[in-house]
Amino acid sequence: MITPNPLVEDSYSFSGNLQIRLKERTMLFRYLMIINLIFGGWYLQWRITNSINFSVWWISIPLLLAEIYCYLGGVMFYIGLWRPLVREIRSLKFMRPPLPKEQIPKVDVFITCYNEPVDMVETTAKAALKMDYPVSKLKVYVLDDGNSLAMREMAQNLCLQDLQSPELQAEADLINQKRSQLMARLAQIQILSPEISKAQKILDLFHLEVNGEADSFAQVLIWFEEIKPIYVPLRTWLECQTALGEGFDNALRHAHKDLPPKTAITIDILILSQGIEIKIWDQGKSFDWQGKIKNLPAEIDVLEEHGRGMVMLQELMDSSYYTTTPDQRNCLILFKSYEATADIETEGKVSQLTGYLQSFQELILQSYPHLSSLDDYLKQVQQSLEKEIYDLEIELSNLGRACYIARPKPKGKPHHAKAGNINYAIFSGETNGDLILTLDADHIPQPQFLQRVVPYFFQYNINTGKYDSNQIAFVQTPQAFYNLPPGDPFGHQAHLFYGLIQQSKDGMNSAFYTGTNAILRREALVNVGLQNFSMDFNEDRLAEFDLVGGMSSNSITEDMNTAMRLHAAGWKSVYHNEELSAGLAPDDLISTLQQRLRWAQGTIQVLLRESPFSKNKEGLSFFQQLQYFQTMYSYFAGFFILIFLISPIIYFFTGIIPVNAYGNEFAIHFFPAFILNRITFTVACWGIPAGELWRSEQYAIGLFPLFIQAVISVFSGKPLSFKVTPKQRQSGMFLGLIIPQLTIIILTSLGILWSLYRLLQGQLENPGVTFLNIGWSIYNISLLWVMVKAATWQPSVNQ
Amino acid sequence: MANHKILKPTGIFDTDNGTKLRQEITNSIAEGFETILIDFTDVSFMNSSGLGALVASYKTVKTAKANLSLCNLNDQLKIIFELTKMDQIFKIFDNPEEFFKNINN
Repeated sequence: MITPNPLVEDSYSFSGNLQIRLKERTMLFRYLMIINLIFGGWYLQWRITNSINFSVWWISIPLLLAEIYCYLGGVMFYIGLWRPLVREIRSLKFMRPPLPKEQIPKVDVFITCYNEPVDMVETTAKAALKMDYPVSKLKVYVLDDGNSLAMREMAQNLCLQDLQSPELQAEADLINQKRSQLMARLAQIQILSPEISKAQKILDLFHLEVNGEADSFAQVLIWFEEIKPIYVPLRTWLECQTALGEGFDNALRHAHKDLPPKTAITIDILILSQGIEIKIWDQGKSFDWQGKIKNLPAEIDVLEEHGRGMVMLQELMDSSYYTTTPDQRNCLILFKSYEATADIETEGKVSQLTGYLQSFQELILQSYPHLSSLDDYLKQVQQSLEKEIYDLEIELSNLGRACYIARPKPKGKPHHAKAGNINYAIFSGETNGDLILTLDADHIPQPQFLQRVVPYFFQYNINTGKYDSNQIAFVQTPQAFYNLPPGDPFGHQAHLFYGLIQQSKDGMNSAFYTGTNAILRREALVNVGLQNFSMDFNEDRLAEFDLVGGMSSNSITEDMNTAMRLHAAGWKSVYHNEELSAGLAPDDLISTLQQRLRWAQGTIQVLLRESPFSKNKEGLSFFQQLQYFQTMYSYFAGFFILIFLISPIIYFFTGIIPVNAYGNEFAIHFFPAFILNRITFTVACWGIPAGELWRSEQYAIGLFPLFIQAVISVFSGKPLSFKVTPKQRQSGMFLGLIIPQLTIIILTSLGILWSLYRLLQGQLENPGVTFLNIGWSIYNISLLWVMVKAATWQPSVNQ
Repeated sequence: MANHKILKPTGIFDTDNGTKLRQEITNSIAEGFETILIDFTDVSFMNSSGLGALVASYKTVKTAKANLSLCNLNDQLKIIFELTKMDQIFKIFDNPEEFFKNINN
């Protein structure tokens, strides 16, 4: 088990939240690399023009092709390393300025499992729940593709345990506290409710809605007479009545001219103690009232028959406005002030209080223009309280953070393996996180995982002073292992890949998503998934929608394919070079081979089905295409490695030399390129233990039969199955799995012995060439030897 | 002077009622009446359109060299006449008796 890296959080050496810089020694590497490629090209040029032994073309041409293949691969590999980036980021809680609580994204952790032991998944899930993140924003889902009862029970128990943890109890208390506060408010509102209803009845007396008809004003007049308070002077009242008549006539004859008859006209009268406000609502087209007022004639001829209405209104009232309301009605607002008669202090008291009530209602309606009465306001307050309470109750019932999802797997329907498992969870409706952290069942995340990767998804906007979300679709972190046997016989250490290579891919916005230890933006995944789904849509696939709509299921390496789709759609990616989780590496040969075969097959499958140069990948930049193609290209090496391995054997037993000149001329052309290559590689890989580099080189060569098998199996078009890499050791001796490698080792060894025998007999014509071949052969055997070691490896007893 | 006619509009005096009244006045003049009294006792409310119709009627009457008088205006009608200075155009009486007294003189 690895111990969490202690983070020195308060000693950031950079300003801002993120610092990106070029890896150290990159410039030196670039110079060396260019020189190296020139010398390599020079050597190849010489090989093509001067050294082909045409008499044995059947071996010399393949050998030359193998060398050209290697050179082109090397060119792409080195160019791909042009811009390795080192990123440093502030943890979420140390972001400057801090990310507001409501902006902290919800994270769903997807732990994908198939048939792994329950306690292994439990360890991972527990660690995921322990991650340092706001409890209400984190959920952990066990996506059990094996649908086992034990796993379900584990998840349920874990959920209960988690609910009893102090953090969740505190959260629950907080929610309950908020809820009871709201409940108290609601109760108070409910007490008010009958009072407000009565008040509303009084207020409604001052509100009238009539059907707009020729004779409807008679109705208005009766109503208007009824509401007259005692203290308003008669003249004022009649002036208001006259103005009301003009306003109503205007609504009926002008505003409602083209509307169906009986379209409602609404009137509100506000009788305040110092003035009267009349509001007339129509539903016609709006009209430039103020403009019209400005252009009114100063005087109207007494014998003029038309156009007196507005002039009269202006003279009768203190002010008039005509506005369009949010609900697309118009309102003519007329106001006239008055001096109350003395009655107001005696008989007028009740009316006066009504006036206060009216002005109070008016205040509320002005604050909430979409409302039309005090009752509405009460209802709104009540509903919003109820909604808040309901939301809190939902939150409370969703507090359980460990969930179990096992998708149905009907027979005869494609299941799309891991991609299908994840996609089902995305579309099942049970998950809704903004970000998705995918973890393999054995990958135990460290507490600071989310703290370190979530900040990448935000960008500070100086103009608004807020954080915006950006175009980052995923952040990949390295894969580390806690069960590696001493010496790493299976070559799982990958500091070259999870380091220089990923950092360089990151430099060209093409970080490699490896299916685990990565956090993805749901929006990106779903958007791009749906785009691809609709692009190759056909009726038969509709039923599989929920299994293919997110993560790509077009290949058995769904991860790489998904990332490429995201990149092609313009999304960006990040590689964060900090080990934030550790998992189990397969520690037997058969599982290791199974895993590597899947990678090789899947990658080649993607090349055939969705090449980075295909039409729907036009969104990829040249360098992104290069990065993806380089990876795919490298998996064709098997055939060429075989040629390199059998060339010396052919020489030992037949004396055939595929190269015309093995002498000084060869040395002059070959060794500068070769030595420079080693130096360049050493500089590039600075900091990675030599033993680990050697191990990865051994596996790159030693797995040649597997690479050949992968190419043949994909090109033969047989369906490939997604085999979940076993997480438990398969014991036994596996020499049967490496027969091709053993054959090469044995033949090469026999060849060397035979040559030595002939040397002692003095029969050897070309001792120099023989020694060169012997040297080459020993190098080959030492590379292949790792396979023998891996096949026979047994865990030591005390492990 | 017996050649007079009394017209009694009712309800709200707006465009419709105004137009109706105007028609009646035109008819009365055609019938030869020279003095017309409009009794507004039963009119509760008048708006500017009604007033406009009344002005039009006034012009008709003047063209025919006849007389038009009004009586029994309620407070609202008085306000609107005052406001539009129509009280200076029309001969307005408190009631028909005043009107008769006036024409008999």
